[in-house]
Amino acid sequence: MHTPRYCLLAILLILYCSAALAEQAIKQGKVIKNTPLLKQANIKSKAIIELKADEKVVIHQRQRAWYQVTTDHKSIHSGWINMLNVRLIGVSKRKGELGVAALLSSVQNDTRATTSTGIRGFDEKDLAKASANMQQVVVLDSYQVKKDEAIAFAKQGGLTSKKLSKGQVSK
Amino acid sequence: MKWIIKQFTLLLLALSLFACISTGLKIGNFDVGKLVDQGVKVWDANHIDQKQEVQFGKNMSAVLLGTRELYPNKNINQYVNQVGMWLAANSSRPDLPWRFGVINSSSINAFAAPGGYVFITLGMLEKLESEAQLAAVLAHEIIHVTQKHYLKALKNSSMRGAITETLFMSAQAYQNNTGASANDQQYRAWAKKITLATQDIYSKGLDKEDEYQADKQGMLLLAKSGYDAYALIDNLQLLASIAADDASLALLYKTHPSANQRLEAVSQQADQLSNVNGLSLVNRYKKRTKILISP
Repeated sequence: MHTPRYCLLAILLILYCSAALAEQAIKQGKVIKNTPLLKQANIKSKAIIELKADEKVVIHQRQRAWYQVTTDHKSIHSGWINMLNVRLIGVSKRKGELGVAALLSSVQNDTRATTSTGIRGFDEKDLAKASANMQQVVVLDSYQVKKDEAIAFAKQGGLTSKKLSKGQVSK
Repeated sequence: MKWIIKQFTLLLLALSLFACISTGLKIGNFDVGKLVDQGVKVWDANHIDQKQEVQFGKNMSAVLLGTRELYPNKNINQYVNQVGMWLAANSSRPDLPWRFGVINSSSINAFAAPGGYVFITLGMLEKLESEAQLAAVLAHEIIHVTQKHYLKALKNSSMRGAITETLFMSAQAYQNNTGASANDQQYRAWAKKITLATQDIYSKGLDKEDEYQADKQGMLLLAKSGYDAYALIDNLQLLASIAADDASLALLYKTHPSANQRLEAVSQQADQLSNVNGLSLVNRYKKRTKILISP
């Protein structure tokens, strides 16, 4: 009688797929002022439609200052909108951190930083009760990285220093 | 003639006292250093050299770490130091002895202290999705250090009258300055002064304009370091999406303008960087932060 075992396997498979989808979760946003939905991620691009304030959008990706979004209209539109004209709705956890994905991560031995249980906050009252801890400063010193190491680390990630023009610096 | 002699004597006395204060000398049993410490000479921004600035930052950091200790994992702390040091190397003060640390707290916040001390909470790290976002948090704090915002805050603080050279001394130097024996009572007196000043600064926060400047110049520092500058806006979007009454944000919201105000304030800088590409390094961040729960 293997039926219950297969059922369990099927349930686990469904849960796993849900978790995989959650990993690729897309964000929802709300438009904060009337703004054009552009064909491309460029201020000079042609507008598809004008989005109204408070309209909800689904955010797929970001390219520099632009979100690629899909509207919630009767006829769905997809295009680019300035990220500063949108506010995210209820994003408080890292992707894949919710529900099933978090549950499965323990099964998969994924040591992602999802649990802060038992770690305390840091508020004004805590600060008021504090006293100097010089031993922790010594520990902090032990983590210090030299400039040469940081340069090697940057190089390994493909990071390079850039010079910015005057026009790129706001007052 | 008598009047002239009297005035000359007074002038000589005043000059002698000034010389003693400047050099930290003692006259018999009269400890000028102690007099200085008791508030005769209050803090003056123009007289603080880099050594004193770093010592003050160290003292402030000791109080921060007395509130919550560092997250006990060398790898994650060193990763934050690598990112931070790369940014610092591209900042206007690359030669400060920069140190970065992860504070073991679920609150969402980051702190800086003068002289190159920068901290991010574990709660904040957990919310981020890329190395560029981590760099954005650190870049904002680095600007507070390079622009000496905390020293400015001290100057404007209501505690200004109580701020003395103590803040810029190590416990050892304080003990040497206040008497021959380095006893526990003297250490406690030093620690109390440091603690009070630090609590005052971190509870009140910095000037709003300083926060806006840290955001704008933070974006520039990200761009100069090769990171995606818009990651800073990602962070502000993230903060704006968390309920204002969320306990994990209590101190951050008390000491900073709202995330929405900050988003409005960075818009001009965001437009001006529209042609600058940068890296997000999502995968490296995920890889390096996987170790967070296995110290």
